[in-house]
Amino acid sequence: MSNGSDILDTFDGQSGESKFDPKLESRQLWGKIFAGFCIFATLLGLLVLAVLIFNVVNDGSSRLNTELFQLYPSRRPSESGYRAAILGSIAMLSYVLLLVIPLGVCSAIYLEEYAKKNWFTELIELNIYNLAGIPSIIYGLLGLGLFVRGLYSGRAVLVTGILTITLLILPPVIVISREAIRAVPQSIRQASYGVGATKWQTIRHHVLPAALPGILTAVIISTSRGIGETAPIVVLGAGTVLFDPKASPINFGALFSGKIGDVFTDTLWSNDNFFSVLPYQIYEWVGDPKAEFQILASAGIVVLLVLVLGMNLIAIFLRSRAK
Amino acid sequence: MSNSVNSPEPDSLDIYQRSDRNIRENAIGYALLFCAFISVLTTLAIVYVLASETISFFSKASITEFLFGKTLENGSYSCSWTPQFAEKSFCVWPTVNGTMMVALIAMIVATPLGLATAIYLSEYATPKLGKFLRPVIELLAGVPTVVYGYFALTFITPLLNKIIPGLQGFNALSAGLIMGVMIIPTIASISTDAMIAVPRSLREAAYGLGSTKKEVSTNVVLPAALSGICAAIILGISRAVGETMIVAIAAGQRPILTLDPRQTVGTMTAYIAQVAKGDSRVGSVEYEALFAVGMTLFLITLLLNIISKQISKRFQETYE
Repeated sequence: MSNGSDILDTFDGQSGESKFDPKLESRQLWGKIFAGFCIFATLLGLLVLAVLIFNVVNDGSSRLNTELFQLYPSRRPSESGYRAAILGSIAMLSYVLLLVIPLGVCSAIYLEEYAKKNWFTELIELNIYNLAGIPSIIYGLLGLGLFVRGLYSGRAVLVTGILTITLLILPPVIVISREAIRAVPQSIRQASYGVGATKWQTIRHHVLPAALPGILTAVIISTSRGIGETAPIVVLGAGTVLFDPKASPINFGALFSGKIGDVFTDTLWSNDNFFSVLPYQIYEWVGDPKAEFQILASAGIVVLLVLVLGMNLIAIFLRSRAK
Repeated sequence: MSNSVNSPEPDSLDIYQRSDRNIRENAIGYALLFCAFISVLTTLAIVYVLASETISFFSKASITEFLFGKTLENGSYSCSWTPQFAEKSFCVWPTVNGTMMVALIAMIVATPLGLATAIYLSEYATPKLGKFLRPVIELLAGVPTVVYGYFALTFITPLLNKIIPGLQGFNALSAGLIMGVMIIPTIASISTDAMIAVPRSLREAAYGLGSTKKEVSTNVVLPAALSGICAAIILGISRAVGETMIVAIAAGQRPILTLDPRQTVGTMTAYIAQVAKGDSRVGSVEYEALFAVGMTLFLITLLLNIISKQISKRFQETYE
C-alpha cells in the first residue's frame, strides 16, 4: 500500500499541473441516476401491463358473467356474448396444437439430429429464420390465396383458419424446439449408441424425453400467440357468426347410425363451417361506436388475457421446473 | 430389438447392416426431412400468392404511379392511395408514410427502454432476479395486439388528449407509444444476450481502471455488444412495420402524407386489414392492390430481417 500512496502523493505534489481529476462524487451520482433509469425502464413495461389489466377489468367488470359465454353476437349489446368466438378459439387451439406439435418437433429433430451441414440445410435454416420474422398479416394473405380460395373456393371456414395459424406459428416452434434439443448433452446420445440403439431409438427414448420441457414451452408460448392473432383471421375474411363451430372431425352420429355416406357432412371439413375467434370478435366490437360494445369488448379482452397469459404462465412454470 | 443383439450370430457386427432396421431408419429420416421442407414450401407459397396477384395488379395499374405518384392533367403532382374510391389512385407512399411514422414513434420509445432493460438484466440484476424478470418482461410480447389496440384507443388517447391540443381520436402518436411497449421485449431480449456474451475480462479491465458500474455498462459493454444491439433494433423496426391491429384500431385508416403524429394516418397493414374486412370482389383492382401492398410489406420486412441476421451473425463470430 505504501507504494500506492507514494504514487498518489506524487500526483498531489504536482497539483496544478496534473489534469487527473477523478470527480468521483459526480460520477457516482450519475451512476446512481443511470441505475435508477435502468430499473425504471425495466419496471415501466410491467407497469403498463398492470395498468392495462386493471383498466380492462375495470371497464369490462359489468359484463363479466356467464351470459358472456352463453350468448351469440347480436345487434343489441345487452344480448351479445362470445359463445361462438370462444368455442371457435378453443377448437382452433386444439387443432393447431394437434398439427404444430408433430410438424414442429419433427422439423426440429431433422435439423438438429439428421441434417448434414450443407447448402440445403443452410437454406432451410435461413428460410425458417426469415419466416419467423414475416408479419402475421402476410400469413393471412397466404391463407386467403391458398386455403380460402384454393381449398374452399372463397369461403373462410374453420379449417382455413387452423391451417393459416399453424403455418404462422410453425417457424418459432421449430426455432425454440431446436434449442431444447441442442441442450441435451451429447453424452446421453453416445451412451445410447453405445448399447447398440439406432439413431431413431436414441432420439425417441433419450433425446426427446430430455428435451420435452423445452419443447412444450416453445409450443405453448407460440400457440398462445397464435390464439391471440387477429390480423390473419381478418384477412381470411372470417366474420361474426351466430352458431357453434363444427369441431368434430367426423360425424359420429352418422357413423353409428350406419349412414356411412354422411360421415363427413356437418363436420370440421364442411364448407359451411364459418367461424369466429375471440380476438376477431373483440376487434369487431372495439370498432363499434356504441359505448356498450366497448364494455363488451373489454369483457372479451379479460377472457382472452386469462387464456393467453395463463398459457404463458404454464410455459414459464414448465421451464422453471426443468432447470 | 433386444433379441437381435442377443442372437448368437457369429458375425454380430452385422446387426448394424440389418436391412429392416435400416429401412425403418431411412424412412424416418425422410419423413422428418419432409416436415422440415414444409417451411420451404410455405415460403414458396407466400411468394407465389403475393407475386401472382401483384403481377395482375400491375397489369391494371401503373408501376411508376405506384412508386412515384403521377402528374395530373393540370400539371400538378399527385400521390394518394385510394383504390376503393371511384376516382382510383395508386401511389403507395401515403401508406408507407403512415407505417414509417408509427414505427419511428415506437422505436423512439422501445430503443432506450429496451436497452436500459437489457443493461439492467445483464449488468445490475442478480442472475436469480434476471432469470425471474426475463420471462415476465416477455409477457409484454405475449399480450395479443388487439388488446394493445384497445388500450391505446380507450386509455392512452384520452390521456394524451388532456395534454396535447389538436390530437385526433385516431392518431399515430398513441398507436406508436403502445407499439413501443410491445417491442420492448424484442429489443431487450436480444440485447441482453449480446451483452451477456461480452467477455468478463473487458468489464474487469474497466473496473480495474476505476470505472463505475455505469461507465462499464455504457462505455465498455454497450459498444462491445453494439452489433447485437443493432440487430435487435432492426428486428424491432421490422416488428413495428408489420404490426397490424394496434394501428388498425388506434391510428386510423386514412393514408395521407403527413409528418404530424397527432393526425389520423393509415399504414400498409391497416389498409390490408380494412380492405380484407370489406367485401371486395376477387379479381377487382382493389382486391389485387391488397396483395401489391402485402408484397411491398413482405419485401421491406424480409430486407430488415436479413440485415438483422447478417449483423447478429457477425457478433456471434466475434466472441465464440
